[in-house]
Amino acid sequence: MKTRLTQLIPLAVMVLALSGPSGSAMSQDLAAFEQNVTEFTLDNGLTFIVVENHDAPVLSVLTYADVGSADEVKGITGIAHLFEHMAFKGTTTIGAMDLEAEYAAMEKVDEIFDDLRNERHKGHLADPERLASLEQAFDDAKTAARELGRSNAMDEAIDRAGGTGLNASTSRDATRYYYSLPSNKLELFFALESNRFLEPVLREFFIERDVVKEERRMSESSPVGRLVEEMLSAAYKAHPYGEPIVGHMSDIDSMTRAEAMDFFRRYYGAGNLTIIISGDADPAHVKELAHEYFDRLPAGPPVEPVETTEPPQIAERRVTMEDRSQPVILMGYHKVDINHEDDVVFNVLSDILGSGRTSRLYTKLVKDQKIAVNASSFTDFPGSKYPNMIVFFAFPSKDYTAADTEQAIEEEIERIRNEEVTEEELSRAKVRARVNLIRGLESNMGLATQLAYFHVLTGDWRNLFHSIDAINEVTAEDIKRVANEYLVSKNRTVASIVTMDDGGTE
Amino acid sequence: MRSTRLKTATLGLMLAGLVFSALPVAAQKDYRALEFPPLNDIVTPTPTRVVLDNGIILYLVEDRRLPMINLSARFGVGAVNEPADKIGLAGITGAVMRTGGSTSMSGDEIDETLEGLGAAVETSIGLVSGSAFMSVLKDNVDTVLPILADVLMHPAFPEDKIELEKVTARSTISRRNDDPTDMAFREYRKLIYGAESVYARHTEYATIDAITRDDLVAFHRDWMHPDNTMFGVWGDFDTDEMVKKISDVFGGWEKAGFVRPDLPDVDYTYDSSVNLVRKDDINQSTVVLGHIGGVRDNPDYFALRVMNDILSGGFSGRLFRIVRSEQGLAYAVFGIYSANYNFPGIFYVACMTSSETTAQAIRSLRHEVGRMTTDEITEEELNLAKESFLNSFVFNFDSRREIIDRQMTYEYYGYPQDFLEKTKTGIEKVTVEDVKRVAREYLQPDKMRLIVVGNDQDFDEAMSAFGEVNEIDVTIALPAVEAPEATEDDVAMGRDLLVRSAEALGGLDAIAAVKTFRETAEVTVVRPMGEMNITIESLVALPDQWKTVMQTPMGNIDFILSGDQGWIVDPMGNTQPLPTQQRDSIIEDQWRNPLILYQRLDAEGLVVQHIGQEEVEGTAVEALLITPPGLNPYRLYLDAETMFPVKWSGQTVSQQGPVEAERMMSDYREVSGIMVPFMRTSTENGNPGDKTVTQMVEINVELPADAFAAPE
Repeated sequence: MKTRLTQLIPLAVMVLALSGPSGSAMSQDLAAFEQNVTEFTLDNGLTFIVVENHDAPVLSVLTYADVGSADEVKGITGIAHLFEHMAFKGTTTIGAMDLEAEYAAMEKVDEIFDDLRNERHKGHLADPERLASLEQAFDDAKTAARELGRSNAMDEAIDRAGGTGLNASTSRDATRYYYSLPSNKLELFFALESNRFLEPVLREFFIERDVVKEERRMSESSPVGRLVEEMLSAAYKAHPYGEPIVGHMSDIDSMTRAEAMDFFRRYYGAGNLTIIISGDADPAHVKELAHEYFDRLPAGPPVEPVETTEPPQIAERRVTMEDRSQPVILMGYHKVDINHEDDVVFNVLSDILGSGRTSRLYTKLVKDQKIAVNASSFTDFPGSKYPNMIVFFAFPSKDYTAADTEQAIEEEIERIRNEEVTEEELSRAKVRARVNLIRGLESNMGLATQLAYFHVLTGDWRNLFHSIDAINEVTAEDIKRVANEYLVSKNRTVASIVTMDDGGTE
Repeated sequence: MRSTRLKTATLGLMLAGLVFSALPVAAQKDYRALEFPPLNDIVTPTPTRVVLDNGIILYLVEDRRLPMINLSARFGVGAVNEPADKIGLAGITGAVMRTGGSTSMSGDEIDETLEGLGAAVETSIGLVSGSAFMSVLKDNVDTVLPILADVLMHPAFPEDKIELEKVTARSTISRRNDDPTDMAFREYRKLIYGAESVYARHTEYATIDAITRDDLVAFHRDWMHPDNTMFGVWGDFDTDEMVKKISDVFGGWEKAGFVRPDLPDVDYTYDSSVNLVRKDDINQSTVVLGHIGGVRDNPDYFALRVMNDILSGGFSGRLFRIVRSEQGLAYAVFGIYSANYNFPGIFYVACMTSSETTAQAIRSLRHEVGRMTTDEITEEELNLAKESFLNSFVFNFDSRREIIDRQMTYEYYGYPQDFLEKTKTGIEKVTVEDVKRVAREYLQPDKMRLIVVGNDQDFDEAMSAFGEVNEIDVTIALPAVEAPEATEDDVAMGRDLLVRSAEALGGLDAIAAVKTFRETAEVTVVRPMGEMNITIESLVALPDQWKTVMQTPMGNIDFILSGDQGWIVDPMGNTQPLPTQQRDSIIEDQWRNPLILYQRLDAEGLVVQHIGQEEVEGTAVEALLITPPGLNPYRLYLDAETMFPVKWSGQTVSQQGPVEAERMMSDYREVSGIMVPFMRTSTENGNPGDKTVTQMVEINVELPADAFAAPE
């Protein structure tokens, strides 16, 4: 085990580099940081990255499955996310009481659902009496199956052990499962997590589908949620980035347990998983446990990337949502994926235009013109694995419209196309990139999240540091070139809420 | 094409299955039987406490791991201390201290300096305390610490930054009915504490408009004192040196002999009520129900915490397990028995559920609260809650900021410095009997206040199934417009002008004789995508029956108002109650229709005053200020020559807040002896609005007997 001192050096070195003259110091920092990182891959392809930090006897664990909603096809949208929910329902040993009886009961639920679905497919010709009796039988079967297993056994075990922050998330690119534990409970993670992805039992599948439908309604109830879904479906006509992560209501409604299991078997092979453990852990011990618990996982079939490529956009697209809520504007421009050399230029450009109180958008729209209460930008939307968008957005102030703010944003984009940014702006952006990196490293979970992201999407966690070097290389000329190439009107989708007042009749 | 890809998936799965079954699966240890080593020691630094001469209390912890210095400050001031007619003052003061900069450095200069160094200084004032935060590289502390001191002691409060915060505050008000969950909790707090309570009240346009720079200066002067301030500092410094640095930059801040006043009490009576906020553009309801909560210094606090965990704790609490996992009624289901440090918290259980399962979810939530007081609490549940708390106790010490903030919090609210350890010991001792006792004593499942924000047309049962329904009107109030003091002459002149105008339109008697009218008009509606023409037919039976039929491409939409009741009938034939705000806007609009106004000249409370001669589009006019009883005033302009009303202007309510509206009236033509404007154009906030061209008007015609009847 390493001593406290060695592992304290790298963070300090990195921060010191900040206050020095600008220039690349990240490679040195990386060399120091690397001493605390242990990386190994099991024969089945499962990669582990262990980051030591012994400040407090706690650690964070994160399993990164390289599968997201972008891997779905029409008809089963939402299945990646639904499976994420199902991965909390236990396994053949966790939460099982009488497995054989439980499986039989679950199969009965599946069968009744198939009948019900077939009857529903008849539409207006469906027999209402048969529908009603099938629905009753479906409810009864669900209740019967529920009694035969304990779907919350895994949550309970983690909770009881003092686990905190237990959760999971599904994005278009990835599915992440994570929590933090007192460090002496490390083996519990191995026991639970290996089982979770070896022999999951999709308990209470159809009830959880209802839960997911409520999750979908929650975003439908939010004006911005509605707008974003409309914007993406306009911005992508071919690539699955245009589909909602949570899925379409009718797809959720017709999904079966067999489809979810198929999805699991296709995408949750060990070779498609990466596990990060960050905190008070001994790498040698982690390795032993990894072999003991995870060697048994099958490698899984090879996973192919999404082959559909979004064709170049040739005409501006507009989404105008008349809504009884206050105005919002989103302007998204297609851009490259994370591994393209121009990607890092967008990070700097976005920082200068849209991050913080000195950014151009905030200064113009909020401070000077007071036409917006917030004006900002972000990149990598709605993912970063495949070509994605840089988005500029504003929340107009009271009495101003989306169109007012659109014009002001457009002026700033035009300026960045026509003039080079100042050296001062450029150096501020670079300092901020480094500070943000450091702040992200302060927590075990922050570190785990960042390393997993870079490791899976770029092939090496070290690119977290290299990306800062790359940012340091960005010039004012690069920004101008990229702005002229990508930030043009035919390449954008403009989505806005226009406030509709329904009390307008005389 | 549902499963193109899944077919390949199934094939892949079969292959994978072969590999899978060929692998020997090692016998697995039972996760419940694992034995864990003891936890490594928790190294907890104890902060050093120092009180400066001027009363500032310092807590300091050296932490040499990163060359950074962080400071977190707390001030004994909050929105509870602002006057009721200036709600928002504390928040604006807290923000402008930083954004407005100090007397020696503007806010924008501070932004530039800090961002160039990757440093941060922030200030804010919340409900019951104010705070500041500084984070800086050690080498830059002598640049940044004086900035913090300056904005705290000598804020400049420039007008433009105050205006910026006011713009933000007004925009927040205008957006406050966009999110149903925000709406539900805002209204729920008002139901529990009372709408006027300092713990629940919120900003309105009028309270923001009332705030001036002088108010900010006074609020800062009255509350920001060194002897009302605590700093927690951690990072790469030597404690003695840091104390000296802070004494140096804050040395000139003079002690005020300040004593923080106690917070007002909460007077609460347990009862049940059913409250509804109608929102018809959503398909999911937010349901919140509960009652008052507690205060942390109660000896029962530890048992209440365990009770709270059993009912609403995370993924293993009863609410999550039952309402979400078993019943599938909600994605978001949560609750808390909250205990604040120095005023009572609130208790609630809540979820978001589809419109069609709203009543079912209410019953389910209520049932779970009830079951806490009637059914057994199992040893299993108790142990899970206790073990979860005790095993995760180490997370109380995994960051310096947490440790130091906790010490400040305890001192700020007058709690013992070892309150966390006391909590641990207290929770270790809690028994099933304790939990049952506190659940029965503190939870009142039969006396809970319920609020639902949702589309009640689609509910599975009418809300009246739960009791008498109180519909909450969330219309955003316009700032009250005060009419200028009227002299007797102005009033007399105003009356006289209106009577002359009435004569010009056909005479008071002829106007008084109007009982009904029917109008057909073409309305050009301006929409972002372009203009749209709609034909409308209006039927009016004075004094209080009104119906408009809009002929849209999708079919007819009827708006009906009959006395206090109103309805909307959509093209599909679905009926909804007319929203209160829309009804009020129709009533307001009637008072602005000259024909109706002239019928009501004797109405009690109507104030009319002459305010001068002006010009409207090149025509000389007499300007009048009309204040209908109980409504905001508006201006009416009469052509000085013809005495025809040519324009009115004034604020009006829209769904999203107040707008400044104007209407021009022209093309007067005679109908049954009365002059009627055939052209009306409106503007809202200066933007073109609807244009209405009358096709036909009939006066005193017979209207269908059921024209204003409640729709089927």
